[in-house]
Amino acid sequence: MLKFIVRRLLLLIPILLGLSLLMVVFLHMLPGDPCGAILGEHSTPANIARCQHGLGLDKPLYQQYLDYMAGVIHGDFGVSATNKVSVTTSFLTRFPATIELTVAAMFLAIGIGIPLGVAAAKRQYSLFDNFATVASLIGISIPIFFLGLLLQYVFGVWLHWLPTAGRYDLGTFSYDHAGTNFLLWESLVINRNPAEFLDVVRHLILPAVALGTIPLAVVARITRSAVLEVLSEDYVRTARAKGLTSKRIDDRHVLRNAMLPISTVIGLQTGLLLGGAVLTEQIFSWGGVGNWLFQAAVDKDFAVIQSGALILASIFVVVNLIVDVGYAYLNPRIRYQ
Amino acid sequence: MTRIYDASADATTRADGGSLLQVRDLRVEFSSSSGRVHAVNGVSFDVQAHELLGIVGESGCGKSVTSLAILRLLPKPAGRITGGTVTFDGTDLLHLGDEAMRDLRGRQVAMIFQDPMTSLNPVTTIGEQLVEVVQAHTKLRRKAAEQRAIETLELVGLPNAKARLKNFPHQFSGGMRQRVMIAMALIMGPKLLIADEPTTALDVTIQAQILDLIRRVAQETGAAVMLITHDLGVVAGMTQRIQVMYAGHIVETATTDELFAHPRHPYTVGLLRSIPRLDEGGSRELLPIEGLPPDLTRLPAGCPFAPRCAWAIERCLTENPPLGLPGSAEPATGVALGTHLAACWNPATDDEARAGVPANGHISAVEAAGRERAAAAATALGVEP
Amino acid sequence: MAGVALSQQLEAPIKGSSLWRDASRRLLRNRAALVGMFLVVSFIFVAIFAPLISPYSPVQGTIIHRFLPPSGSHLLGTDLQGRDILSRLLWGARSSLWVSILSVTVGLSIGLTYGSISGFLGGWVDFWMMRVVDIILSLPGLLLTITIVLFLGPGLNTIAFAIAIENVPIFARLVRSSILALKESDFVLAARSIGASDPRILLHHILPNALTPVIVQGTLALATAIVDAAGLGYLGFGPQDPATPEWGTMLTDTQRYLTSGAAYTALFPGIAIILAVLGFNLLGDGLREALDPRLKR
Repeated sequence: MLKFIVRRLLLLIPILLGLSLLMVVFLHMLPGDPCGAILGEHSTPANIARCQHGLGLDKPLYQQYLDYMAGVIHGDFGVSATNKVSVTTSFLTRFPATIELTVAAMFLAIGIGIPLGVAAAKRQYSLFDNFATVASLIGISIPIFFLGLLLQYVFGVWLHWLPTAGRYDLGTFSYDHAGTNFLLWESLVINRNPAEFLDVVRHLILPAVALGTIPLAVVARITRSAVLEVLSEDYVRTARAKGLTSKRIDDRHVLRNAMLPISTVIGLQTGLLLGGAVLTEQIFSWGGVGNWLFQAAVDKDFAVIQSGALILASIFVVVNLIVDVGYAYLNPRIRYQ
Repeated sequence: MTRIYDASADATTRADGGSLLQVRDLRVEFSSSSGRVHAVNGVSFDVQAHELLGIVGESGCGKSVTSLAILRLLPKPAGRITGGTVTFDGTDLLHLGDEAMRDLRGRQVAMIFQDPMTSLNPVTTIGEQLVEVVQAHTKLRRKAAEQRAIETLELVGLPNAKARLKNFPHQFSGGMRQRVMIAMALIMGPKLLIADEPTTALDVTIQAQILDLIRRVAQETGAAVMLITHDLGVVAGMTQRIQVMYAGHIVETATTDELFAHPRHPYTVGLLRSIPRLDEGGSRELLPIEGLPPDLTRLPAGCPFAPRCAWAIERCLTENPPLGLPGSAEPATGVALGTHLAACWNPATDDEARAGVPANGHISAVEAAGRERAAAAATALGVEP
Repeated sequence: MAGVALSQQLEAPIKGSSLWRDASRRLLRNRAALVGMFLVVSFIFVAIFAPLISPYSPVQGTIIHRFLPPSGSHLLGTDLQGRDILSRLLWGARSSLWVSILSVTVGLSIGLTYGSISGFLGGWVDFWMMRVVDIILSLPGLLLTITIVLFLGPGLNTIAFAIAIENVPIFARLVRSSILALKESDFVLAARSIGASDPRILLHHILPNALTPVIVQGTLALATAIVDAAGLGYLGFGPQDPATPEWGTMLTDTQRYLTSGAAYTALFPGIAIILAVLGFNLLGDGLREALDPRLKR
């Protein structure tokens, strides 16, 4: 098992190196000039040259890359061209918001998707199964931004049940001094203020539902088909022939085996969540990483795009590694190789 | 291994003095996209305590379905028992409550399946899979259940049993896996062990070992065995009685020696002719049975074997013969267990059985009838496959 | 012999039914797939014949007729600039169809070639080619497309290209894994044993068999492309030319009026997207079940 993890960790190195190289080359190759974008109407040749020198863009490409990587190793991911804030700082203040959002979304997807899929599989072709199948099909077909708009309209504008933007009520609470920027944690554990915690939760609900719906539908679908597949396996028949209770058969034999394909899909969906977060954060004015990177792209802020993408991709790769280790843990045929 | 063989469970002490398992007129249907499949069509037989009974037939003849039906393990919702009774140890199994039925499975009647690779759960240890049987039926603590698992694994000849409890199925060889399956079936000391093609998926060299093992453990634990196989060679040296199944019917039953010496049903003759036998030297030609078993969604009115039968006469095509004394047109009732019975209008004689073909004069007419029938069946298949 | 006669008669129908005929029969028996096919065909029909069937110009509107609710003369009402929403939706189908087809075609061709080479060569080449795929897959997809569109400039073709880049690694992986599985299969070994050349084996034996999952994935990718294109439009990266109506852009344009009682202006493009996407998803699911008989229950 340890060997497996080490081997996977070693595989990370070429991927991350390649990724950083690709980012530098790719951004260099693209038509359009960061300095032109930054300076806008002030872009005289002299200004552009000064700007390029300032960003190190006048150096040869390999030198740019080496400089960049030297910084990365020391935790320096460069400085935003638009607001001069260090990328590392911006990322660290914004990432907790994205974590809260994506974890909440995945929590919904797994917590509802798996039981839904199991229930549908166990009543194959019943009314409930058909309903769940249609619902999950619509779930995977509905675009995040449209769902987000619908949720805002129905629960915010129409029913006035839930807030539709931001992470907390700006008029009532203040997090200027916040240390971790994990607001669920800050409000409940540090400030010990239930009203504040409730406010944070209420702000989280709609974005999490918007972001979590597609993974929920996907998880429900794969769960249903995986459980159906496992139910027809010989070892389930053996388990029944052994006189086990149906609860034991479900938990130990059906679900344990169905979790193999389900865990793979959960891993893939977790990776895709970061892309979905860009849209969700945009719709709900959620001050997370997606929102930040989107703005950087609009501003053609090279340093932010390059480093932000590198960090996000690394997180994606690490999440995948965790999923693979989890998969190996579930599957003894891989664990004991 | 006294812990496993529980003397009080001796089946012969039953009040009615009858058989351990009584199956009467059992009928099973499957619904499929091409219609209703009549998998078992009125099967009646008995298994006595401590007895080894062989059930033989080609795949799709209903032998496995019969055994699954006995334990009410037919795949739901496709499979359905449509008639008959199953009585085990005086209990009507088809009307037993779900919880009582669950407790009976694995404790009183246990099963061994064909492919030990797919029949064991790949993601849990074999120790866990053995212990859970004990815990499903007793209140034994984990340690005691584990001890019992070790003892049972030793009984089936698994070396280093204690250490291997922590192993997963894929870490065993095919033969060892089947030993684990057998241990799993025996761990509660069942009165009846149903072995469904237990050696089919194994290497030839392992097959004999596993069969020996089943016979030995049955003897040691006192369990009766229903050995289901498509291979007459497997049951030859092992069972006391054999019944041959075809298209969901029992077509012949006798003691093993009698059946091998004097087969009466042409299908049995065919089965015997299609296995190589060393005792007859090289002089005997191997004869495969021509044709395919009938389509179980549309059973013929007559004998289901008639289309493939060289002995077939006119009556075979219109009327299905009952299981009776060979040559008698009456169904056998109240005969002693082990009496030779066959379901055939025109049973083979000893000479014909030895030759593998009917005596002269029979052939051409019957062959024509058979050919006509085969053509009809094929057309039916071709038009509506 | 009776058996011979039987088997001769049986052979004819078996020979006649190929994989494809079986698959299409299964597909036509699947109700969900039929609904999907209906949606897809309607979508394509609308996209092709939009100029003929739209009641009004999708571009020109009269400002005094703005925000008309759905009525007999404007079935789905009008938007801020008094343009007929139905006509804009019908024309918008063209944009969606064009982007989805172009992006899948480009992504599939590159991915197919890349994956075939990688899978067929194997070894170190395969290892490194797949690491490159890993790298692209690890980037958040939407960010990648936004960046590409930003730098290449707006327009339907740019959007399609950006989405295609996102699709390449998916197809490459898919093709590679089926090729790896097929490479070891008995019929390929048989072809090799009679001395068939490598390109011949790849083109005649492996690729046709590797195509089944690609067809399914291709259909599902059409759905994703519609969502992605609309997402770009929603974020403001849609075609900037007002003469090219696009569903996602229509949503953003009208989003502001959700509160003002003109919610339908946002609802209709959203529903149009869902229906088109649902159509491709249903069809893809149906194809998967039809082409892989093992999945049939």
